[in-house]
Amino acid sequence: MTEQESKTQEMLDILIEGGTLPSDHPPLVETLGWFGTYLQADKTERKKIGTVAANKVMIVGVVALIIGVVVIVGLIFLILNTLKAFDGKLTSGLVPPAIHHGIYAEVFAIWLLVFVGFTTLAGLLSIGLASGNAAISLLFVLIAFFGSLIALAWARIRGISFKQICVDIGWTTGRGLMREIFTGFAGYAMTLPILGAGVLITLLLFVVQQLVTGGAGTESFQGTGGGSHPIIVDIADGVWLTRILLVIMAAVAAPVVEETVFRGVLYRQLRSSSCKFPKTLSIICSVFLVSFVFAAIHPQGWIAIPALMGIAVGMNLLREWRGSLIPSMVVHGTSNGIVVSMMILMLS
Amino acid sequence: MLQRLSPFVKTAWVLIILFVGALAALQTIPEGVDGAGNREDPSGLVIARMQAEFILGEGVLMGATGSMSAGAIPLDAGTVGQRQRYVAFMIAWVILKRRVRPYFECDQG
Repeated sequence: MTEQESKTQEMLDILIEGGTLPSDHPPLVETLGWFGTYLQADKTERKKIGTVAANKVMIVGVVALIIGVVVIVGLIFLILNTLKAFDGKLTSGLVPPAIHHGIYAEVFAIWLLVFVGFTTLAGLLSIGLASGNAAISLLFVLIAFFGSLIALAWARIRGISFKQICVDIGWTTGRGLMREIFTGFAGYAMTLPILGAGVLITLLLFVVQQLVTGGAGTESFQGTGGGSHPIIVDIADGVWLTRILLVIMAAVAAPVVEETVFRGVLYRQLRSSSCKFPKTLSIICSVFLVSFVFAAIHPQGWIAIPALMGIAVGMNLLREWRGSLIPSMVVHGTSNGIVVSMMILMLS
Repeated sequence: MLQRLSPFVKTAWVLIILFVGALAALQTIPEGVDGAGNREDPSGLVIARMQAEFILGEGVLMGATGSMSAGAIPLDAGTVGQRQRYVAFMIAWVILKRRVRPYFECDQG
């Protein structure tokens, strides 16, 4: 127990025993945040806090209801499209590579190094120049994110034309920009049931973890934040500018950069490398591997891997179907945008 | 030219496998333990707040704040900081139930 936690515990013990806190006690808001505010609130303030909480629950309920309807519609379309695919009526939009090579494996490896290097540099610059300003720190991270795409230059250095690179990695408008964007939204609906399956597995793992480490009401002091993205701490603590930048980061930067390297570069490479396999096997292996790598490098912890793989499977299948990255970027952006917006709503 | 440079491809795959393997292994290491051995879980604190607010909002909407204590049991988990928040939430609920505010009178005095 830290010193601050000890002092807080002393105050809580006094309250539990029905005593009165000394007049010079530190505000519980500072140590317990929202819980401190709620505890120290008078009747009117508490009613206000309750009303705000009730409004949030209502909004979450409405959003959950809409998502529930979208899941049902998405599941119907997913089943129909799967049947069409097995009938051979749904063709792949992924163009065969102009040449069979491993250049995109090199590009992906370079991206991993560049990404880690740039984000580390952004962290150092934040410490040195941002002096605790979360918005400036996020700007550095945004620049690092987009800057990491410089790794694509390796393919150009290896002699592939820029036009060919764009075709290979799906930087095309496919069958028309608007049509691909619309397909992205439809794809989001079809991805939700797969994501749901992944979330169920994650919840199952969470229950297993609770059984092993001890959950509510036990003496285990293991943290319970596993499976959540560290971004929620920034959302909770951040001012509005920080929150806007976080939305841009989650709904724009992450979809553009991650779709380019995972669905664009790595999926392209794996499909090319497994071209001697039967096509279905090549697709299954590539989708599984890219989804695993995508999930494993996210910071939510091992418990969230099935959930992240769920959404990644949907995005990979969209890449295979459409060829263009626009639909998977739309799915990624929509998903992240909704999650971050709901977090901001719940924590504002 | 591409054939001559093929060793890069093998190096790239090795690098990718090592990198992803290392990251996956890192995910299994429990984090949030400070130098003194105290567990920290900032994400867990944020989630606890969201859960508590949800329980409160649900209680207000259903007109059943009396059953909040049962609904709040899942909050009795996690680090010391998280459990202190659970205790604070429960004390606040008791105050609400008694419809009095005896503990902080000294603040106003």
